[in-house]
This record gives sequence, structure tokens and C-alpha cells, in this order.
Amino acid sequence: MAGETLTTQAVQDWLLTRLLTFPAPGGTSKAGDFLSTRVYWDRPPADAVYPFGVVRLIGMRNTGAYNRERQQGALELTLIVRPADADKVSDLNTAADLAQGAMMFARSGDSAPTTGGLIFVGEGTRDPLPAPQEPVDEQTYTIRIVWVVTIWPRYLSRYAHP
Amino acid sequence: MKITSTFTPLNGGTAEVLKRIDTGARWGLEAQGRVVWRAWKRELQLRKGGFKTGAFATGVAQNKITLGPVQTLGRIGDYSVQVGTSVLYHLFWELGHMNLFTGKYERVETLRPALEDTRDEQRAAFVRQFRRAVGA
Repeated sequence: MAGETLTTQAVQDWLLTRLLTFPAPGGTSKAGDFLSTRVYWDRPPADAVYPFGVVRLIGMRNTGAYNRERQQGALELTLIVRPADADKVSDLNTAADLAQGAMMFARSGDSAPTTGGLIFVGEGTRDPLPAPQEPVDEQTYTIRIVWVVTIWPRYLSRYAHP
Repeated sequence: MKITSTFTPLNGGTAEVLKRIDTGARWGLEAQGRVVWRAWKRELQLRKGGFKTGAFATGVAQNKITLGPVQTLGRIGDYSVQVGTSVLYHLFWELGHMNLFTGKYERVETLRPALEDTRDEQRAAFVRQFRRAVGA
């Protein structure tokens, strides 16, 4: 299926769906159980309800290899909860665990990159942000996860392989 | 026909070659770090009015950018240089945070553009110093 890479919006939709709805093995837990659909691209709305996430595709670029069709960059997920009491922090960590699991072997379909488009997620890092101090709201707790993401988007490959 | 080589053996032989490569790597890395350090300061200078709240004026932030010495990593020949900051609020602005004063999610990236926009400049600075060290 090439649909997930036909546009940037489609790529984002695929990544976010995977992140929120991929179930952990042996159960039905998924990140969406904790976050519902409150993971927003680039920035949250002013009235976002906690906990929520902000997700970005950063620095997507091609190095000239693979006929300049392959894009590689970072997928960044920032999870924020308020107030930062023990239960809520624990839940946020569980949501982060499930998000990490969801992206561990994430790969869109089996399509050939030259014809169908392809997305896959590679290694990642996870860090809680340091204890807040000005100008950060000290009642918040934040976890940041960054993965390497590789995309052969169909919106580019169609020029080389119509 | 006479064939000549421009290669001049160094007096110290292999040891001297390795020493110069090692020096070149360290000089190159320091020069590369300096490019990022300068670019980050420049990014902050462009935001003279502060990030978003007056209390965090970038003029102050600019003076907090640090360039560490080239350091040896675990393996022989592996080095690193650290460009950083001595104030934590840089990190929060760079990565995004819920702002105490605006009550909103705020983010102003200054390091990432400094890193990414100077890739070629970093490479050139490294190569220049490496060549100087090895005498190329």
C-alpha cells in the first residue's frame, strides 16, 4: 500500500495511528489508553487537557543516496502531565513504555520503496526532562522520546518511478 | 621517463604520521565546535528581544554558551568536543515546555538551526585544520 506515504499528512497519520493504537503483546494496553487522541503535531492547542503529547518530524533530509528518494530524520514525542504527582507520573511513564513498544518494529506494509513508499522507525532515546525551573511550570513532568525515522515517500518516488 | 613523487617521508616515520593525524583530528574537532558555538550565539543574537518572556533575554543567554576542550573518548583516536550552555532554561526553550508565565506550550529552537545550517561550514573548518596538522 502506498497510501501512507502519498503526502506528508498521510505519513503523519500513519505514524500517529501506530503510536496510539498498537497494542502491547498479551494484552490490549496501548498508549492511546492513557493519551486518548491527545497527541498533537508540532504544538498542542491552548486548551489541551493533560496528559498530552506533542509529536514532530525533525530534520527530514536526503543525503543524495538512493536516488534522493530516501528521507531520514527524527520523530520526536514529548509527553507532558500536570500535576506531577506520583500516580500521574507513573501513568505517563507507562504511556511512554507503550509508545516505545509501538514504534519498536514499526514499518509500513511490505511495499517496495521504489514503487510503493515505505516508512520504518529505528533506534531511539528516551529521557525525562530535568526538574522544572523558571520559565517552566513546576507542576509539569515531561518525557521526551526521539526515534530515527526513515521514509521513502511515494510523493517523491513517483517522479522517478511514475 | 622520469617519474617523481611529491610524497616526502616524514623523519619520524609511521609514528610521526600517526601523531599528525591525531593532532589533525583534535584541531579539526575544536574548529568544528567553534563553528557551532559561534552559530548558536548568532541565533540568540537574532532574538535580541528575548525568547518570549522578558525575563529570559537572549543577550544574557548568549553569554552562557560554552565551548569545552577536546576530550578523549574511550578508544585511542576518538575525541569529542562539547558545545553547551551553563543555564538550564536553554534546554527547556530548545525542547519545548509549558511556560509558567504565558500558560502555554512554548518552544524556540536556537541550537538545532545552528547545528543544521552550518553543516558545510563545520566540515570545511575540520578539513582546514586537519590539513594544516598533517601538512597536506
